[in-house]
Amino acid sequence: MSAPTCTKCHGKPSVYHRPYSGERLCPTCFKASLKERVQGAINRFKMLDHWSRVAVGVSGGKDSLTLLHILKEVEDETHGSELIAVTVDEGIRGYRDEALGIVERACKAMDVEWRLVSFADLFGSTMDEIAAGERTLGACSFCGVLRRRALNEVAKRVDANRLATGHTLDDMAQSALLNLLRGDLGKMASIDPGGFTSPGFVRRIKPLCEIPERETTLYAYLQGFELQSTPCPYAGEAMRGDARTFLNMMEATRPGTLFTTYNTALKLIPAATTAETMKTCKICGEPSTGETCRVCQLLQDK
Amino acid sequence: MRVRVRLLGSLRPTLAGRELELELPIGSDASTLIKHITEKYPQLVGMLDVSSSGVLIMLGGVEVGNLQGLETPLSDGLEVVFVPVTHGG
Repeated sequence: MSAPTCTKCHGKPSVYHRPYSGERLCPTCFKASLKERVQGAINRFKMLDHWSRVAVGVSGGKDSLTLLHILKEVEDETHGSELIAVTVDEGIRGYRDEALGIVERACKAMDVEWRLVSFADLFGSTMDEIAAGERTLGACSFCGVLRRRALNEVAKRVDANRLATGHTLDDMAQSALLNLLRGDLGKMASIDPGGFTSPGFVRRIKPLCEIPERETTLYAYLQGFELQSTPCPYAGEAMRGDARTFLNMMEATRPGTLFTTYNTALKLIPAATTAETMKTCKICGEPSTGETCRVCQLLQDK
Repeated sequence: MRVRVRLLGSLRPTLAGRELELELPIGSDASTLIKHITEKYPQLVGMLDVSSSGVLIMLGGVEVGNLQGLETPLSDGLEVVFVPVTHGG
């Protein structure tokens, strides 16, 4: 069993084959290529300025740990942005407890400041309490909306002018497909990896937007990151799961499907942006696409 | 021949964090290994499926897709690591 030589450095044995490009990469060239691609996305979508103050959403999963690690290296060498890892404790017993330990150790190892905010502090209830109550929506729908608000809130508290999240190419392609299936052109604007500026919103950027999840996984493995062993007890968002299964199947048989889906969504953004205009929520005053924001709607309904 | 198996991330609790040592017939490939593991641990059926992109299979530090896929022959003393892809962001 011997692996072919790396197609980039032509020196070391490769450990990974990229079916969509044909490259075979050694660990050093693989990690360097991810860094280059993140750097490329940051530049192309004008995600950062010199000396930005970036809140990095770090959940403790492999994607966000990879994001933090690559951003730290890239920013130390280029823009010199200041990074603050921010974590939302949803209050999910077992699952989040393990992740918080992982994040704390990772931030210490990478010498990055860490801030924590909780659903209990912000909304008066933990996710476990919300999930146990009567509700019409799935737990993931609640959690996703509240987590986005919590991340924005903690980013504001640390005076960040950017909020970086660990959305991968898979996440981008899944969201694009879901928006298409739901007929929601307005939401397609949120695919924009460079984000947008709006009063009350910390501009949200997605530097891993062109990195497949298989590759964030390999990066995390090669770096020796701790990988969370406890799955979220509320996981199982049916429609996204279906989109993921379909896209993974297509990617396996037709490599490049994820990139094509993502690139097509990017072309739809100009039309989507005009379909979605931001207002102010009449209850909490936060930015909203309707008269009342999703957070207030959910908290009223729970 | 004997191979050592490690399951990482969300697969880890199956072996309670321990390493698994398996005796396989000489000439076994990666698909034979998966069959042996899932027979021993039926809860892993469908979770070690490389074709659905749900897991990376590292054979001696090399991802199986960079070799001969599931038909890659295994060697005595090889370490095989399963790294789940779809769990946790």
